[in-house]
Amino acid sequence: MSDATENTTVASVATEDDELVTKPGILGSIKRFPFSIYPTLMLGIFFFIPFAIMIAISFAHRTTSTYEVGFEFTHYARFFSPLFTTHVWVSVQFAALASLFALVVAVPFTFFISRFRRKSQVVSLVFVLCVLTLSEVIVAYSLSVVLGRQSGLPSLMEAFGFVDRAKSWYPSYGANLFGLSYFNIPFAVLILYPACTRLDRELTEAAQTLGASPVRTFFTIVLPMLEKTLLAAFILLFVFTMGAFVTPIWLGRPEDTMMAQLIADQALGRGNVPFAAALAVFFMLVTLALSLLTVWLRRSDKTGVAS
Amino acid sequence: MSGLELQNISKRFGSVTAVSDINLTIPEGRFISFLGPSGCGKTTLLRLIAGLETSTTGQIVLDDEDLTNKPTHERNIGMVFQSLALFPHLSVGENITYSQRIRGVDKPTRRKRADELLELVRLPGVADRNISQLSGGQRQRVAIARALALEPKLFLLDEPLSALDAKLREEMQVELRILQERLGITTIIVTHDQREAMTMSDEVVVMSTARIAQMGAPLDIYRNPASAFVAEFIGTSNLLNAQQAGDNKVTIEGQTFETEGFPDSLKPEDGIIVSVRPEDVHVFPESNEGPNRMSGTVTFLRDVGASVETFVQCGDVQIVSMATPKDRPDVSKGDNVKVELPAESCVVLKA
Repeated sequence: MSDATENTTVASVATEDDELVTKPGILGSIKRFPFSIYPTLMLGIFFFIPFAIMIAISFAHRTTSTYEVGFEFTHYARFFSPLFTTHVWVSVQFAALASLFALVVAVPFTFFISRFRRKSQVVSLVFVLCVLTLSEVIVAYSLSVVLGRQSGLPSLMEAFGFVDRAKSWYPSYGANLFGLSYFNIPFAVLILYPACTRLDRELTEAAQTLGASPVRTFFTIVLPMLEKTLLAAFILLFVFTMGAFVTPIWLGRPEDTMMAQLIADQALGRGNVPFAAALAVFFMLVTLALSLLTVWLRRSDKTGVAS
Repeated sequence: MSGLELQNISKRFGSVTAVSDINLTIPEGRFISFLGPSGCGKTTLLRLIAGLETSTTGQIVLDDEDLTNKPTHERNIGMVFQSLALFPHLSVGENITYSQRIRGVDKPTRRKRADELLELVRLPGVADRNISQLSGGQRQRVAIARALALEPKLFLLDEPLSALDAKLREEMQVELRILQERLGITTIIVTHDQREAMTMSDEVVVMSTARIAQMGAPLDIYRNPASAFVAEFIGTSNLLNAQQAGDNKVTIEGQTFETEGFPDSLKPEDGIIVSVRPEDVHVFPESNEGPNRMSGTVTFLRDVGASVETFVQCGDVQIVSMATPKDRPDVSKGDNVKVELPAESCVVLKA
């Protein structure tokens, strides 16, 4: 269930983007009927039908063992319960901080890569892509080894005499945040890379002839010019992190439970499928709104500044 | 001494030599052009002076101060880039006073300076506008104002006018020169347009394949090109294969011509080329005899109103003559004519 939610989240970002790129909309797609039927069918089968079922279930009536057809707002009403609000707040915190930290690392990194020679750029990007091929499970597990008492950094600290008795650094708030941030970095690099390569080299050179050191150039020219890209990247990473499942299970404490875990727990652990569906619907709508915001940001970016 | 000195400057990119052992002295307050075809190293040389590239060998000295290892932002230069490189996220005024902001100058002073500079480049009252609201010529002026904001010791321009249309470009050339004379700032412009170089500069440095081919006052170079390359690149020229005939005489197409004299370095066994500017060539009717003339047939007349070009085929060589409409030769296509190459206009070059 939770895996499915995560997938549809990502899919919705992509489809929204595509739909807005092919301008003529539904009328245009009908005219190009033979070509448009395939994406329409795919969207219907894999997106609209499951979404409709989910919405229907979110209004269903819960019985002791399962649920039956109904139309009630009981599950949505629970959004005001502390169970829901605390975990939303926890998720928002993690998503915002993990996106921010990933950007702090990725922005200078990507900018410097984009100033390299072409060949070095490709090599660096291949390395970044290598990290992307690792699944969340592998990353979370590897980090648990690094942060663990037996073989990781804590025992290293003990060996060097910084601490008397090593303690495991996970599960903890910090470990979960670190894991989520780490996982976000390659995505951040890929989102930022095109914008960084488009930055005209002469702009930074001009700043230097005007007396700005490379560091000041970065803060007064590069960052302001990337402003919209940074905001778009932040939103995309935020949406992406909101769906995190494996990392908080592995590296987080029980109180660090995030949205996806909560949905899985309600659906699988407690058998409360309608509430899980209601959570998923809420989750989807927020994601959709944020994705639309990035599309709008990108569009205003194109028209905003003339070359 | 005050001024800019380049000593043995070389720059190699891998196996490519972009600039090879350049020595150059530019006295304070002069306007210099680096002129040459694309890929001759003129832009690299300018970027070396700006510190945007580091030289492989040699030294750059400005007013007795060694700049060679100073980073760009400590060099106190003003530079106008080919793309102009105006910051799109800043207003016109903020662009112009960016250098002052970096040095911590307060806002009212900056504002005053922006208005002053906009006045200087004859673009008053646009300080609050967006860069995207300006036309090409206006952006040009903003880029110039920005480069001059800190009264730099050196003003560098990298093909700054290439994006403008022909008419605006000619206007800007004159304006830029007048501005430079007023400020008395040492200026170097990189260009591939000989007309632009001649309009603006005190001295032109003609470059060819990483080296200086010739440098001097524009008219000296025009009248006495040091090589066939320079003669060809600065203006147009009739380049005629010739043989030495001794006593400052040459043979062209089997006929003997007087010249202004041979270069001192010329050895008797060297092959030679004679360069004659089209405006120095006179065309006469066939019956008109005289010294330094050869016969030919008119193959084409280009009459564009302001000037008339007469193309004359003399044996194997084609000679072009250019005249103003009032000196237009009384000939038409197909006529047999006499072409005069005046002795003082025949420049002998080593082949």
